[in-house]
Parts: sequence; structure tokens; C-alpha cells
Amino acid sequence: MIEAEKLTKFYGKKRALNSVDLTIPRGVYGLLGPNGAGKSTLIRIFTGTLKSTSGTARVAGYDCDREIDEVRQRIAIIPQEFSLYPNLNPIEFLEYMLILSGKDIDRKKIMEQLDQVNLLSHAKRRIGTFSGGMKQRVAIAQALIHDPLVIFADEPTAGLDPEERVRFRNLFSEIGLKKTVLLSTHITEDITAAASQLSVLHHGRIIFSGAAAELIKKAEGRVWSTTLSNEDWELFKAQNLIHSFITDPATGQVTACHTPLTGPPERASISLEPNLEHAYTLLIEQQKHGESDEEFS
Amino acid sequence: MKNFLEQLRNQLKLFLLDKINWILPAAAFIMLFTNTAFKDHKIYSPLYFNRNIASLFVYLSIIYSGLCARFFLTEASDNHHVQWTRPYFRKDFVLVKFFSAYFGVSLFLSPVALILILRGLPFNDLSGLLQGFSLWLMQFIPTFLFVTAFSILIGLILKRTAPAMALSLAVILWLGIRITSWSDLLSYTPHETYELTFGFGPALESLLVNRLFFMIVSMALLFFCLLLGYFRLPASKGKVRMGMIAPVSVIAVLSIISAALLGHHLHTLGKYITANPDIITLRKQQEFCDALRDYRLEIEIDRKGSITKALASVQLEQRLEPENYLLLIDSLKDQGVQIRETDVGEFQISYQGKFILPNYAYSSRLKEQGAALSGFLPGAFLDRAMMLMLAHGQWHPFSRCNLNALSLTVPRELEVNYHSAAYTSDAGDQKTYHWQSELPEVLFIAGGAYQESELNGQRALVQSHVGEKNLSEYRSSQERLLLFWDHIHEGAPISGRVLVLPLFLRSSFFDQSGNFFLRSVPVVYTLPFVSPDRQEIESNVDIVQAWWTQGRNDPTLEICFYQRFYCETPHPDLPDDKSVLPFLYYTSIKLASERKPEIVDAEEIISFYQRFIMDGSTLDLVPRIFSGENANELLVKTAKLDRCIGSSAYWKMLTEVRNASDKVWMTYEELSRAVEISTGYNLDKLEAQCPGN
Repeated sequence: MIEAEKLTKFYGKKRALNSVDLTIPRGVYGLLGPNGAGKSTLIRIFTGTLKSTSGTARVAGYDCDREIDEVRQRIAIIPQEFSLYPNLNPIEFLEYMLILSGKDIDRKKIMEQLDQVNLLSHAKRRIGTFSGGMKQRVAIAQALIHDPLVIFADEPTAGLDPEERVRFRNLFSEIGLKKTVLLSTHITEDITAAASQLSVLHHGRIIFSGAAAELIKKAEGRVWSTTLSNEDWELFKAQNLIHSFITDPATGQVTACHTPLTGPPERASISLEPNLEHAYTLLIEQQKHGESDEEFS
Repeated sequence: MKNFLEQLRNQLKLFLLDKINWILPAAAFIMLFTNTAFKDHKIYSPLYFNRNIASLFVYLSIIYSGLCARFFLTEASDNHHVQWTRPYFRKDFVLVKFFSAYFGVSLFLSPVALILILRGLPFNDLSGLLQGFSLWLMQFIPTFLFVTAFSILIGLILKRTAPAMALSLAVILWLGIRITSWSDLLSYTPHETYELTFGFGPALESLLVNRLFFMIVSMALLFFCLLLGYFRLPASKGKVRMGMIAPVSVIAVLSIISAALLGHHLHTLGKYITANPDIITLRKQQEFCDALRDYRLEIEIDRKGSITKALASVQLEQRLEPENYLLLIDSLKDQGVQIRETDVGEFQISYQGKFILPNYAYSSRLKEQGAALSGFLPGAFLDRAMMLMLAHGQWHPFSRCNLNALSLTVPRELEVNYHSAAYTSDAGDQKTYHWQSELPEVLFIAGGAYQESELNGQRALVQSHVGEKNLSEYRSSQERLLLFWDHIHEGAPISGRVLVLPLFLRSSFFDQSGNFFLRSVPVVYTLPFVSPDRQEIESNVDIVQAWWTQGRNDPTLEICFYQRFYCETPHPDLPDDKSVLPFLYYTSIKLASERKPEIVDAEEIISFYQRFIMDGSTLDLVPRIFSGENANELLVKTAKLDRCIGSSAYWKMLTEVRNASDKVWMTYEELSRAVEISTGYNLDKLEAQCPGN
């Protein structure tokens, strides 16, 4: 459904995408990467709002540069930041989106869509009065209203409360049964919950593509839990990649989830089962060190 | 097309719902309701309203330019990928935005338009309403089309809302308020024309060309926006609709060519209209007039108002070079004036061309002081709509001189409203009017919507669709005229008839033939804020000064009466001694108190003048203060003389004083001497000669 071949994008002299090769099948596909990794750039090229410098991008078999009209007929986007028309209500907004997609206005379908995102009771309220979560739901509704084949979701759950995020993940999983959803995020929990396959983008390069379980497997045996005194903490921090830590105010002891940067853990540590976040953090950290090694060499 | 219209509907809704755009109707209402012309609609005509609409549109278009740029760039930020990834958004973006903004502002301003148009109804019935409506459309459509296209262009170039709004606003502000050349003004408000002439006479052609120019330029700008939008808008362009390229390109090229041609035409018109008078020739032409033995002219005018053939025959008594004394307007000189000496001291001068009247020939507002005082009569003009020829207009080469004979040939189908020709002759589809010696000032009026009528029983020629308010004022003027005539001619019936001349005559005047040419804009309309008693006095000034000047080609008295600024500033054409002004002003007070004793008390006004002269205490109570040494005292002396000699002798004296001089202006000594010869009283010895008054 979505393909990229040696896709490269420069902003002036800065390289945002570096020869990205990617093939994304039907279903929910995760795109992980830190801020500035190139996720939004990649999505903008696929959705035709940005031109690549070189390489090819294809959606549903159509070239995103030369056949963008055909691509646009088949895609939708839930952007990271969006501005919906605050003076329109959701019905008017979805009507307009249908018109822009070249479809006839279908009031029944609009109401169904609003029901699906739980906005039916607010259908005649101005969007400008909506909370962030409600606006996000409108953004989902607009993406689905014209029945696209591919949906690009760029950080769709950022800023949502946990309850809303759970609802959204479930919604994406449901959509993924029929369509292709590229779920771009740096929140690993969203990927874990909704996508079985993912790619990790770092500094414009794909550093991992495959199943989430495969990525997690790479971190097995490398994540530990260690409890140590407050005095030792500073030294410990310098020798380990800290995934998380908590401090006990009564004893002053620190319990950290970590990966030693050099060799096995020296203290009495307990091995932990890694999750996607651990694996992803580790992967990014490895990349950083790898790159700095290159720089130093 | 259906999709385009649906997009348009939605964008229009967005424009109308955006609260910041509500500034437009709010500003329009504020400007309308605070406008004096609107508040006092009994005084101002629909034309005056429309003159104000032009400025209202300029101010609103300045605000709108910023709002339009903002509206265009609403979806230009990175937060609108939702729209840009839709297949139809980018394709129609520029056109949809252009029309939705334009229709949006039209809808916002339509209530104000409706109110103003309906305001035209009480004046001229349906014709007033239609006139107001057509002028409204003429001003609104091109101005706002241009601003919309221009703001979108700026938006496309800058692509950032704040700078685009600021730049659009600044440029439209500059275009709207600069008064360097009328032809490139955003709104058609030529600053030198008398405001009530707007849309009439010589201004009509330039108005139409100006408006058409802005429409065509808007179209050319829009095509440029489409082209620029292809490259500058966010998102990939998609396929170009090849079928559209050829027609769009053809229309774009045609619109650019048309804009260039119209711009050139407009520039030419502007050059003629804003031309400055040749003051030097004007001053020295009297020398040529004095040397003339005979001056005849044959002139032929076609359906479009162009002079197709003009041949002047001149015989001079002394050696002068005619080319140094030509006073033709520029548009008649541009095709070349041929001067041929047929015999010693005899010349034939031929010329032709379009008659494009410069502002200075009929407007006294804001123009250079020298031009205002240099002795132009109202002038003459011809255009497609109307034709007015006065004997001393600059349609003949020595316009300050008197013609000995004139033959004017015009198309037979031309509807002639009035002529003072001695006889006429027909030839084919042309008709020739002949004048021989002693040409009256008004020669010919044609093409105007005039009708034979009557004012208080006297024959009159008035505009067909004149409103009842104007008619009532005309009747009042005619009553003043009859009263004055009755005094001056001791009850003899008035011989001529009343003719209401086209709009831009500045003051009434008597023709040598005895006809009274009444200004079509009554004096009270030009003085809306003064008290009724003062209005009555000033209305009489119009009659008295018209009689005093005897149709002479010298508007300086009238300018001094109505435009004091010019009068008070030293100028070579104005005498230092302006004693004529208070002398005649007393006559106006006298007439006013006789016609309207219930509101004008001459005795009381004179007592105010006396106290003003002594201690200045009644400064606010005197209707007008005259500058110059002893000027206000002369007014009081004239009143004393009147009381002393009696009313009958006063009117006789007035005629004799006027006849004592062939000039418009008289010095105090000349006036005093003429008064003494007529009455035996010396203005400086009245206390002794006439004690108790």
C-alpha cells in the first residue's frame, strides 16, 4: 500500500530523509522516532504536501509526485497539529471535507461518522468551543469521512488524556482491519497497543523495520532493575542508560530500570522483561553512540 | 462546476462567520451614520451621497485589503494539511478564495448600499434611485475587485499572514489616499472636480474609463495570481488541466493588453483633464483682443462630441503673431493648429480634436489660486452626454475675445435644449446655427435632459428629473430675481426667461440677451450649516452679483463672494480695494429683509455691524465680516445712505453706480464718486449731510 524507495529530502543543506526504503502493508503500521527524526517529512511526502528531493514514494500504487491527484483520492491525514475551522460545527466541517474530496454531501454518513467518534451529541456546536480531545475526534472523523484506503496519522494522540488515548488506539486497531494506517509517533505504548509492525526512523534513516516483538527481542537480557543508595546514584547514572527510576523518600534509596552501557551489571541487579519502549530507547542510544564513535574516529 | 460552487459556498460562509471580518459592516455603518450628508438628507442630493460613498469605499477597501490577505492565507500555514491533502482544494484555491472574499465583502456592505440607494428616492424619484444605484455599482465593483486581486497577489508572494496584511494595507492606503494623479486613484474621486458634477458631463467618460481600467487590471492580476499560485501554493500541484491552458492563456494575454490600452487612454485623458491653465497667455490675450478688427469662426461637431473641423478667420489691426495668443484647451491643440496668413494681418487658423475639458475650466475647488482668479467663466464643454457652449470657453483659439460671427454645425439628431443663434440652416443630416455680432454668453445647450417648464409663471428650462426640493429652491431664486428686477427696473416686466444651467456652473448670471441663468445647485445647498436668515442673504448675493457683473468674463467677484480664502490672499488679478463686496452685501441684506422680514431684520443686522466696528462685541451676530480697512464701515454707510435717500432712490443709485463703470471691481473712491454723482450724498460726510440716520 505504501512504498518508499531511496526517498531523500533536503531542506537546504540539511538532510531530513536519507535514502529511506520502506514497504507498508495493510493494517496499522507504526513509525517510531524521536522528534526531528523525519517522521512528519516522510508523511508530508506521502500525502503530497511536500516534494522529495530524490527517490520515489508510492501510495496505493500511485506515484506521490506525478500522480498526486490519484493519491489524494485515496488518502487522508490526521496531522500532528491541525486547525479546524472554529466557526463551523462538525457537520458543516465534514460536509466541506467531502466537497474537497470530490464527494457528494451525505448527511447520513456524516452522522454515522460523528457517532463513531462519539461526537453526535455535539454535532451542532461550534468546533471553536471544543476541547483538545474533541477536536482530535473531529480530525479522525474527517479522515474517515470519504472512505480512504490509506490514513496517515502523525502523532495523533499527543496531548490527549489516558482515557482518550486508549479509545483512539482501539479505533486505529479497528480501522486497521480494513485500511492501511501509518501511525507515526514517539509514544511507544500506542504502537504496542495498535501496531504489530513498525519502523524506527532516526536522523532521516530507517534504523529498524520489522515486527515489534523482533525489536523487543533485541533488548532481552539488557534491561535490569537495581536498587542503590543515593550517594552512588551520580556514578551509576553515568555508567548506565536509565529507562526510569524511583526514589524512596523514607530510605533515600533509588530503584532504577536501566541498561548498562559497558558490560554486565556490576551490582546485584534483577533482570527485567523488556518492552517496546526499552527496546526503542536502547536502539536510539546505540545509534547515538554509533554515530559519535564514527565522529570520533 | 458544482464542486467549485460548493467550495465557494463554504468559503463564503467562513468569510462571513469570521468575526474579524465584521469590522467591515461595522465600519460602513459607523461611517454612514456619522456622515453629515447622511444625517441631513434633506440638504444633500443622492449625488452628494455617492461622492461620499467613493471616500467610504476607499476607507473600507483599505481595511478590507488586510482582511482579504488574512482570509486568503487562512489555510496557508502548516496546520492545514487536512485541506491540502484533499484533491479539490488546491485546484480551485485561488479562484474560490477570490470570489468568496469578493462576495463576502459585497454581502457585508449590501445593507449600507440599500440604505443609501433608498435615500436617493425622495430626491429624484426612480431616476434618483437608479442613478444612485448605478454610481454605487460603478464605484464598488472595480474598487473591490482590484483590492481582492491585489491582496491575494501579496498573500501569494509573502505567504505569511502578518506581513501580507501589513503590506496590502499599506499599498492600498497609499493608492487610496494619494492625490497625485486622478487617473490612478483607487476610487474615482478626482479632487479638482466640483463634487456635484460627479458622474456627469466631462467627468463621465473619465469615470467610465477609470472604472473599466480597474476591472481589467483586476482580471489581469487574477490571472497572474493563478499562475503564481501554481508555483507558490503548498502541496504538490497535481496534473495541469491541459484543456484549460489555452483559453486561460488567451484571456490572460487579452486582459493584459486591454489593461495596457485602457491605461494609456486613461493616462491621455488624465493629462488633458489635469492640465494647468496657460495663465501667461490668458493675461496677455487682451492685447490680441484689442488688436482684432474681425474674428469669425466656423466649427463642426460630430456625434461623439469631437470637433471635426474648425476654421477661425482673424483680421488684425496691428502686427501680432496669433500662435503666441492661442488659448485652446490641450486636447484641441494636440493634433496641431495650422495658422496660415492669407493676407497682411489676415489669418486662417484651423484645428480639430476631441473636446476633453480640463478641470480648471469649470472647477474652482482646490485649484491653483492663479487659475481660480484668472478670468475663466464657467467654460464650455462637449461630451457624449451633453453639450454646453459659452461664448468665452476655450473651444475657440482666442476665447477671451468677442467673436464677430460664429457658425456651429452639429448632427441634426442632436437634441438642442437651447440656443441663442440668430438663425439656422439645414444641410443633409447636419444643422448649422449662426450668430452674428454681439454674441450672448450662453450659445448652445444640447443633449441634456431638459424640459420647458415655468417657475412662478415665468418661462423656464429645467432639468427633466429635478426633484421637488430643487424646484422649490429654483422658485425661491426666481422670486428673489423678480423682486430685485422690480426694484431695479421700477416695475417693468422681466424680458428674458430663466434657464437652469448644467450642474457645474458656479454662480447665476444675467446674459446680455436678458435671460437669467440660474445655478443648478442652489446656494443653500452649499451653506447647509448656516442659519436660515444667513442663507436668505447669501442667496440674494447670488442674484445681486450676477446682475452687477452683467455677464462679463470675470469670475473674480463671485470667487470673492463665495471663496473668501482666495479673495483674501493677495493676487495680481484681484484689486486691493474690495469695497464692492460690502456695498453689494448690504443690497442683499436689504432684499432679504424685504422678502423674508420674519427672519431677516436689516435694522438689527446693521446695528450688529455698528457695534462690531466699535468694540467687536457682536462678532458672532454679523452674518459676514469683510476684511480690509473700513470695509465693514462701508456696509453701515451704505445702510445710512439708504435710510437717508429712501428706497426708491437707493435702487436707482445702484443701477447708476453700476453703469458708471465697465469693470466688475470699483475702488472706494470710484464708488463714492459714483454715489455722490447719483445721489448728491458723499459717503464720508453722511453724518453731516444726513444727521440722525
